[in-house]
Amino acid sequence: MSITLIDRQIDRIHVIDDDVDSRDGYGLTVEELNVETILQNDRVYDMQKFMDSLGSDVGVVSDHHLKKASSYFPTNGAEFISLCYRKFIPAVLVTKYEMASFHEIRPYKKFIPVVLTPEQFTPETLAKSLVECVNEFKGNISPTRKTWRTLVRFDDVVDRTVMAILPSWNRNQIINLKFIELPEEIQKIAVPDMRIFAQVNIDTEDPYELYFSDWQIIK
Amino acid sequence: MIEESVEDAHIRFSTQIIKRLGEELNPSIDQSVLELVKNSYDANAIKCTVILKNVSSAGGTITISDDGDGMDKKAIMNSYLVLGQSEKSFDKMTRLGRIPAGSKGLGRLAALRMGKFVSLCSVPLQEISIRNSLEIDWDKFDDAKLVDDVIIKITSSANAKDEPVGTTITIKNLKQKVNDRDVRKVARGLILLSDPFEDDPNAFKPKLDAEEFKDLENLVSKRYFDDADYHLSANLDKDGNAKAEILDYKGNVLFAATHADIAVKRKGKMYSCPIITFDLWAFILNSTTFTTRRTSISEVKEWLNEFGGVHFYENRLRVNPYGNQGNDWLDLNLSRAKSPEERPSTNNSIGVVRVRESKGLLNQKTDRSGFIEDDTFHEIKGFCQDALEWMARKRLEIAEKKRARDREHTQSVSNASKEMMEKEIAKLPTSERVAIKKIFQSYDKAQDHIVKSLKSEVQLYRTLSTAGITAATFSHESRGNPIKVLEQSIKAIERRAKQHLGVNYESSLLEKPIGMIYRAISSLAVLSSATLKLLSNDKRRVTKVEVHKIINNILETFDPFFKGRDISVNVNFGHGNPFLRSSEAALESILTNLLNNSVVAIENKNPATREIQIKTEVNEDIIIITVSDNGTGIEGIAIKDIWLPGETTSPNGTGLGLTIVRDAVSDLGGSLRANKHSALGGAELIVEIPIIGI
Repeated sequence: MSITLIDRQIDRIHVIDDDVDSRDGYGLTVEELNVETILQNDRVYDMQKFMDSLGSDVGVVSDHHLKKASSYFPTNGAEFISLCYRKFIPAVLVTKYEMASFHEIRPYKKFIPVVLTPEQFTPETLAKSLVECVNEFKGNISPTRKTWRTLVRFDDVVDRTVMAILPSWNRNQIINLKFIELPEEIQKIAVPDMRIFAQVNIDTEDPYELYFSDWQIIK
Repeated sequence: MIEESVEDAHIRFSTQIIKRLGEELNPSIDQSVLELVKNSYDANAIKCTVILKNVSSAGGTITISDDGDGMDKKAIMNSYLVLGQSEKSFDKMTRLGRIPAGSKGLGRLAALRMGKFVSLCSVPLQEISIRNSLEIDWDKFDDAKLVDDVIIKITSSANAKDEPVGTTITIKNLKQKVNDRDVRKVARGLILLSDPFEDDPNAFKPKLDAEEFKDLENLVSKRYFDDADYHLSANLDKDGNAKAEILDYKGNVLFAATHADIAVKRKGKMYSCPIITFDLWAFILNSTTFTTRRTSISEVKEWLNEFGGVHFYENRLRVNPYGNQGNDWLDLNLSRAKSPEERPSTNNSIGVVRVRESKGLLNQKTDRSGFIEDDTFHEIKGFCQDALEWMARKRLEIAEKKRARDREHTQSVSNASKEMMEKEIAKLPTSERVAIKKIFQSYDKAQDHIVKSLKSEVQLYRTLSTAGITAATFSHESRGNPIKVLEQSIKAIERRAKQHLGVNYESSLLEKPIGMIYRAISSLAVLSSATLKLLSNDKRRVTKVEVHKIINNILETFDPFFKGRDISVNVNFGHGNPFLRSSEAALESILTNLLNNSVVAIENKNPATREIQIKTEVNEDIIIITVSDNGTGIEGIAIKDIWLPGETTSPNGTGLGLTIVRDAVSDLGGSLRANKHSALGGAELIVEIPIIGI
């Protein structure tokens, strides 16, 4: 049992969720792709060892909140999926896009090509998402994910949150960036009316799809 | 035939550009002055004095004088006088390890343009025998055509009078007067740039010298410490014996503690650490406590946001990261979270631990990120936490006593008034006495009724709050796993049924119940997501709120809920994108409650088609939001009473929805009215709120 995504053969898909029933629920969808479905039932203690145990013929599906019920996993799902990406393992994050977790996910979005909500998660969307990952590994990045050097203006800084405006994206919309999303050196100097550059995927229309990387202070 | 010729040319700037850049980019006086102060900070100054002279009317003088690194002729020429270029690098610390605070040279231009005449003199650290000076007469620029046409002369001469290292800038003949508000902002900026505790010899110590604004001059030197409601002053002597006092804002001792009072947890055992003093200033940050003060609550909050927390000085030198933003080494916030009443947090207090130590008992980590957390450090931490615990106990005592006193006082005042009134009535002639007594008894009864209503209203709010908290807890839970599991399972059942039954699926008995489960999941999801969305912290922050966007968001959240009840919502937005400065939560409270009322009214009437209409229009700087429906309308209650708490015509209603709407609209500076019946037949609520743009 395996599927081929472009030229990549996937034999197994690991399902990571700290809730047993949710894990089983995702498993029902994954097994319809005709691959071996591996439900991660055991607690993961060592991230490095776990990453090393994943072969090149696997895919991954993970929830974002992985520590709600117990110490099931050492990181959250967003960080884990980004680690998979860096190891060229096609991986999909499945989560409700709540505001609270959104700020945790955005710093990793560069390495998360697709985030699906549980409603969107079907065998078809899963296969399509995995293909999108493989495409990115080959350098074929979709226009809405491609980043450009963009001027970011800090309209206001309140309660460790920057209200940012990206004039080249939408000069009328404020994007709230929590300090945890910014590099430490920028957190230290963030003040209202500050201008800064970052790589941003400004071709997306969805504010929740925006992500920022390679921050650059204007000298 | 014309011969080809080539000539060099440059883009040159009109002097009008100087005027526009300086005045349009940074026009406020406070920002301009602070820009020059930031230059002093970046130049490693320890002292920086802002002198305001005769500024209450136009023509005054502002002088900014510092003992920073100064500038040589080259620096003045190639950096100071070059606009739009700054040699500051924000990722490079200054000589004293400061992160540069100033911006590009444009802010400086605005500052220098405040007056008609500027003089600068500077003695550089590298060349103390030389004094460099220049003068700028802005009238010359106004008279000239191009910027290059005006020559500024930099004079370098022997520092014959041994002037100290540093820079002095004097802006003379100010174009406009400086008012109290501007100076207050300057004072606020200076306080934010200065170290709250001036122990560190390298700390920046700005000073305001303003004869016309003595109170603000004092504010800069004293910071906001005088606004603290409680000052904990605790110390440990060489034997590890603790003592502490709590002082009020006037410095009067409210409570004093002995070692036994403080060291309760350790059963009186002495602390084993060097001599320490620990001071903590705790602020009660509510608008009532600040109404009678000269400083505003927002100023103090801003200062505490920057410096709140407990700082650590060892032998007068500040030790990082203690007291930095986000550092809570004494777990103030954790203690407050466990027991919120009367406890300080890093947001409402500032403190300093000072240790004199020469025996090497405290050792800093090699990366200078604080002390090695050995026994000595833990003893210091333990002492501070014990002192804080003692303070919390005492503050709780004060609060409890005050509550009991208030209760007793209110009751006794009420009883005394009643007695007095009865005595006075007894003095009246019999004929009048009976009538007055009757009126008084009726008044007394009404008062009792009001008290009872208020008590029941408080109880109702408590019950609803509890219901809200419980709903949020369950929403978190159901939003997560159970709904997810239901969704995945029903989708799998549907897919597999379709696979097995093929074309027969549609005629099977499965399609209908599967559809019902899908709809039930949608309704459950609305219940949880609507609750959680209303509770998001971000929504309570004041920001730019786009009215149409909020309405659309609410409708999107409620969409499955409306669909489930066959209610169609017609939206008719007026022109543009009206926005106001408020919290999203305020606007959401208004709209959500109005929509909830419409839904109930429609269900009560049960019309054949169910309809809600939302209309917006902008009239000058007011947005008018009209919500109407085809429900029962306002019946069985007078319009003036619909806003009162507890008044409802719905058997299961709380009667609080419209009260909340009324209060939220009032908070936004708006007004509210209602019509018993709209064109649709049901009630019509019209909300008018001021906006700041469209």
